[in-house]
Amino acid sequence: MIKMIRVDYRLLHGQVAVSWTGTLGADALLLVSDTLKNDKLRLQMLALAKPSGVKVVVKDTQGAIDVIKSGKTDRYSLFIICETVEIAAKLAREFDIKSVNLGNISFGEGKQKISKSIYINEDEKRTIKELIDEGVDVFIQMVPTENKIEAKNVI
Amino acid sequence: MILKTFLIFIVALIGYSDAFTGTSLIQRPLVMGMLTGLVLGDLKDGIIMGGAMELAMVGSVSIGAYIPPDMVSGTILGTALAIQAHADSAAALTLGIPIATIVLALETAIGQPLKLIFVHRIDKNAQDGDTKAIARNMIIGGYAGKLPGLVIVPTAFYFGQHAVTTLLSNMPKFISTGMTIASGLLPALGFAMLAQMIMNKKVAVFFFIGFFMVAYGNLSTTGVALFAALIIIVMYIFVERKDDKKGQDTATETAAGQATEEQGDGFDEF
Repeated sequence: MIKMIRVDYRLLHGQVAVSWTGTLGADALLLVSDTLKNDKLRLQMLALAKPSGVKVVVKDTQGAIDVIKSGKTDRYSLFIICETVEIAAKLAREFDIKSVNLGNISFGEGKQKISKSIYINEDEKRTIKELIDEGVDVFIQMVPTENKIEAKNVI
Repeated sequence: MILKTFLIFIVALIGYSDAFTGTSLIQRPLVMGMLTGLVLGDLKDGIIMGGAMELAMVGSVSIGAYIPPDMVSGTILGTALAIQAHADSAAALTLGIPIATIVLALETAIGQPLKLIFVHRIDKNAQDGDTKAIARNMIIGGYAGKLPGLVIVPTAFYFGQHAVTTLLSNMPKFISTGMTIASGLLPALGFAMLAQMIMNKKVAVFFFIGFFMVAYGNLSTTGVALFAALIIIVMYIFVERKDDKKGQDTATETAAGQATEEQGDGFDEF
């Protein structure tokens, strides 16, 4: 069962591994990234952040879709962390998930700041708008103790 | 007095080296309280006060966008001023917690911007490929962020103790009673924060074992801690750890040449 989909360019860190995993009661984390598999250094660093007692799986977008479809993940309380908005949108549409959490999206040249941890470019903005139009609840929340901000109110 | 102030500064420097020493937990109130007691010639009270502070701050761990109060300054000043005033651990706690909160605010307002200067320098060093400068600026930046605490701890110790001693000895009875009661409540708050972070179905049973040992067995917390240590040893010796087993499996499979490409990157599969 999918507990939550989150967009977080840092994938696995304290906010995800401790705060959210505990609050959601998740027992498996699925990190979805299309760049991670080829980045040995980043993989090594992320492996250090693995919390105990929780399964942590790394997949690319297609691999994530395949593994969820295969039914292997059904017995887990799954928490999916996507590196980009685009990946999250793809998964949300594929599995008809009506809620997407925006956690951290990195700053970059020409990006618009919509909250203290979310910076988006035109493409990301369009994707988020489309998701909202499709009836998906896109909300900004870094950690569970923080108040939810509805994305539709800030973009 | 000058010597004591200098030694107190050294204790603070040690505490603020926590990140530099690889998050060694050297900044925990238990360690800081003990060192402060040692410096002031009252090791026993230092440990007791450090222990009281530790209980109140046991859940204060900077994980997941949470920045805990500055326990280094809080513990050192709380313990030192209480020892100098011949007060008890309730006084150390009620002095220490507000100090920790104020110093955290100052670190956020003054220390972090100072640290940011070095972060930008490190960005530039990285562009230049100057790894030595990166390492140097990381260390300097780390301490720069703690500058408010490093200045406040010795200063407040030197100038504050007379005022605090007068304050504590002239305090009306109802306030000191309130302080004692508050210092009894704070450990519960600290523990609740810790529980919120680490409690799950697997560890909850141990929590209740300890709780009922105290409730029905009239055991002291030291007694519970001793039993807890023994349980850890028993589990370590007799309970087979899943991680080990999995490691062996992987090793066998690799030997058999069946290992897939994905194994060995430290992550799991469904």
